[in-house]
Amino acid sequence: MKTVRRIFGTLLIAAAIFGTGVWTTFGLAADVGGGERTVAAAAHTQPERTQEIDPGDADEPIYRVLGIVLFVWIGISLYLFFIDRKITRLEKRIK
Amino acid sequence: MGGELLRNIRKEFLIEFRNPSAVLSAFSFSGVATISVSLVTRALPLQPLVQSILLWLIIFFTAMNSLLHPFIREEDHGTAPFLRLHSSALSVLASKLVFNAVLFFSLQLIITPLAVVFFQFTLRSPFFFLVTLLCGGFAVTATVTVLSAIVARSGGRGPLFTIISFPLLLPILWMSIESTRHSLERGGFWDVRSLVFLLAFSGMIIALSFLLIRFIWLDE
Amino acid sequence: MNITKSVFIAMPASIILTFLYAPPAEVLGDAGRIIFYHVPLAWISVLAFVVAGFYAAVHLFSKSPRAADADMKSHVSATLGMFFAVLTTVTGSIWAKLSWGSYWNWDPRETTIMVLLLIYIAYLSLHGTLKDGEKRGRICASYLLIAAATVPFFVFIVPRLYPTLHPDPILNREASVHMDFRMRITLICTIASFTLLYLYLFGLRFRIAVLEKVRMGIER
Repeated sequence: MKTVRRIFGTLLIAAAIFGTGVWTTFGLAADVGGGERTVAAAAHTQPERTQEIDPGDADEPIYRVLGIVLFVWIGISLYLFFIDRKITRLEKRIK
Repeated sequence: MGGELLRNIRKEFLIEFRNPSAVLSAFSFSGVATISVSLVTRALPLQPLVQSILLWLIIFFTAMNSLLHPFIREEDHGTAPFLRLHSSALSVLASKLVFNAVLFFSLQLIITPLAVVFFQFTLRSPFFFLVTLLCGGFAVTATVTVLSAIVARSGGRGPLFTIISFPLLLPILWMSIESTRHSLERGGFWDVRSLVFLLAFSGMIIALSFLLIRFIWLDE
Repeated sequence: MNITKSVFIAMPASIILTFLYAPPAEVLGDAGRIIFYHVPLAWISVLAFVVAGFYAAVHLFSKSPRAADADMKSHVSATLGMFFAVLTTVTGSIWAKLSWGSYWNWDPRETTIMVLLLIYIAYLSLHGTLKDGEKRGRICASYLLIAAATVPFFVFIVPRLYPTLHPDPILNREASVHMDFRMRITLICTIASFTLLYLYLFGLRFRIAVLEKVRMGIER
């Protein structure tokens, strides 16, 4: 049972990392492709971003990157949290 | 302490020359390495940087092959426990250091003339070249001696020795190569900073090794 | 209860700061935000090394019963430092690709982190070669102290002797900071939260090491 759970956990983490990788690659690629298609239309309408990020624009790549980084951090923190709990349990059992 | 140290140094030389195969193979290694590297480079007109890199690589591998022996020998022959009882850790380290320094400078006496002849060095400032070889060789000896004690105690051999000594020898090699290049390219005695670096490095390593040898060499 | 657990809050907060509060860098634009991850990682890999060296010294020279675990703490810190040094190398190499056009070009500071990585590898392989026991602790601690003594030579002297493309260290010689105020605030926040992360991981790894020791004692 324990081995199954460990294998499942490893697979889950691997899938998360692989998924974020695929998401980043294809998401950004789609972004570039879409940009090419609409570049003629949007050349005048989209102002070039210099300093500030428009907080309302959720399609900004920076929000996507922020989401990915936060997602990765949440994965790591869950992993750490469960390890912490397991260690505490073992320590109690030893005492 | 002084008498004990002198006795230990004398013992090192006597043992090595009673059965000189290790010393002789070290000498032949250094000669063969220099000549074969120059054969491989096929008398190409090498730049001073390449020449000094080749010279210091040969010196590095010679050190790897020859300076490990004094401490390993004690463990291999089973004489280490008696040496521990008989004399203090400091005098053991000092005698091995002296022996290694003498051995290494004589190895450099073989390597350097061969390299100068076969790689066709043009020495713009021969005095600076010699001082660099002395300082660099001394720094290499100091570092390798204390690390060879660690390796001998850990029971590991060649590969472990190369792994643990390479990061510590890297700054020495780097500065010595730069300094040798300067002596080949320009005249004068101007790159004193490298020499100060090498001397400071070897002084620091020797001080630390005398501080730490009792933890490495003795059993509690 | 444990203050390092605040990393669970501090880390996402500083991630949000790096993307939304800090302005894009001058030349690199948004890609320049990698500085907020590269600099703290580099800081942690050096800090972990210093901590490992400190505990090695405590293990060797302190007689107090509180120093009994120092050997384990030193090893734990070195393991973490190895991890962070790998991450520093990766992020630094990405940044180098973005700003200088190649992943690796043997800039002195890149060389320095590579040497730090080599020292970590050497220490961990020495630790792996030796068997468990008092001897392993003392020999590894001695090696770590010798290696730690060479790090200042790398970190400070070598980059100053040769030209570098790398931006000035945050604490440069004029003690001035060439950085936007908001970027500075963000950088301080990320460095603080990465330090918290390091401390938290250190605590976790140390508790695991204690548990493993107990298990070994039961099995024996």
